[in-house]
Amino acid sequence: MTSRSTYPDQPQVAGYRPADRGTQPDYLYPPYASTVKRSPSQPLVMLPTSLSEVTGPLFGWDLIKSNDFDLTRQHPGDPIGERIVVSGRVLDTNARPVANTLVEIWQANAAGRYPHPRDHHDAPADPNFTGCGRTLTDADGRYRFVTIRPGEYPWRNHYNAWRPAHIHFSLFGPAIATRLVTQMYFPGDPLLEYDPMYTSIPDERARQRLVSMFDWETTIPEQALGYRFDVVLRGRDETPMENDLPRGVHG
Amino acid sequence: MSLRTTASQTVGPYLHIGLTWLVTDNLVGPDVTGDRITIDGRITDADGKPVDDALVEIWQANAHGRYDHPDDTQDLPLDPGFKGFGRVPTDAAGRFRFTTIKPGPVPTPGRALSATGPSQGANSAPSGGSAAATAASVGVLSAAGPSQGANSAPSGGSAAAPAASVGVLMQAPHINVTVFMRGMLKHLKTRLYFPDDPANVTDPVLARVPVERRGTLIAVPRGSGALEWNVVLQGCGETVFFDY
Ligand SMILES: [Fe+3]
Repeated sequence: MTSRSTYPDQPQVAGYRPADRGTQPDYLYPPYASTVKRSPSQPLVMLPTSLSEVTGPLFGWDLIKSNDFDLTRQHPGDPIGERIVVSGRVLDTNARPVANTLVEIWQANAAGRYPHPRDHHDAPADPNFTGCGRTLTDADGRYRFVTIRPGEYPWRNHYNAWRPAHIHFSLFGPAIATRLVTQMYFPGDPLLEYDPMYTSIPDERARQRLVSMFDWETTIPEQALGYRFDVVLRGRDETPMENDLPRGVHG
Repeated sequence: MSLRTTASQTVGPYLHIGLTWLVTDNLVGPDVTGDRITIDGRITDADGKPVDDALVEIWQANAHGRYDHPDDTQDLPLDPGFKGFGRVPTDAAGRFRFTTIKPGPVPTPGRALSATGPSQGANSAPSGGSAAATAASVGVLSAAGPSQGANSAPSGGSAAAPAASVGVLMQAPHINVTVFMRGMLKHLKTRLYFPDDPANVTDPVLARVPVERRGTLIAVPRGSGALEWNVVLQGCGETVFFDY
């Protein structure tokens, strides 16, 4: 839909389309206080697509241990909390599955506490829960984790600030142009509208797509509720034709 | 059918829990070709305070200029001991360090510069540029708009390209860098270039950066393969960040 700028006479690498308008936060969003000193003040320099941006690291199953997808099975005992299944698909904006891509997650325990030296929240640690998982998508872009529902936790952004329950997601996709770190939220969380990370996303529908859906299909009887969370990475422009049709405006 | 991109969110302060299992500060396996280098850097915020909770990722070609990726179909050797990906968190002083090799030049890529005249695209820019046009006249495009038919670069400037003889305009050796941290709702993208590399002069990406800011992308030599390259998030000496 959008043509990217090209180098002179350099039409041959198909790039990744920019993120859709309104779907991405700006760097500076003062309601999220830490952005004020950490956001660039100069305009970004727009790069045309080259091999440097359409390539990126690819990872294999050799890096993944068998219990990495199940955060409830990484210690001798069971973690405290409500077991859940978090699954979904990783797709691109062309609606094609993103296969064999690394998905990394991390989250607080059921009490809203991270086992991290900088987390001073006065809530119980859980020796049976680290809150770290990873897997690869399958050929259809599907991934699946078993975990426990994370707790909400306070932070010091503003008076009486609480993060909604969330799971952090990191994804690579096929190229460094598709790299994405995001957060998954839970349906009906009353804290969402007070959360400046959530409200930093300009488009209301784009915000709502970060909210997972209860999923009866993946719910395991007597064991765990299922939540579905699909992720959409930037899709590729049409591959330029061999004979270099003008890359001007196209569909 | 088309879907809309998922929103980015910050890694937050506890990123280490999820991301440090894959820390790769030494990219060089056994028998890897190329000049060994170390990159030492520091990330500072608008007040010059070190950022002690950032994560830096790098991605680079091997010494031959080949990326370990199926889309790189150049007829150049892959190096089994070199994948090209690195990841490190910053320490309490905001510092990070990578041990790697200097990558080779990679194509932009393109075809023979002598081939046709004006470049394709809706709005070809003025064609007056002669040999001198390569660098200076390519402007900065605003972050706000990866917009429709953004300026095609000037069409004239072919003479200055170093690799014109092989028909492909090469980029100077560079390392692609991404930075994640609390207070950053989407990651920053930048590049590290090498000091005194003659190819910097004709690099088409450096050419897009205002002259007075190019230095922020070029590492400083510290002797015997050591390089220093710092990231300034905001303010005086602010690093050039890219969108792509
Ligand atoms: Fe968190």
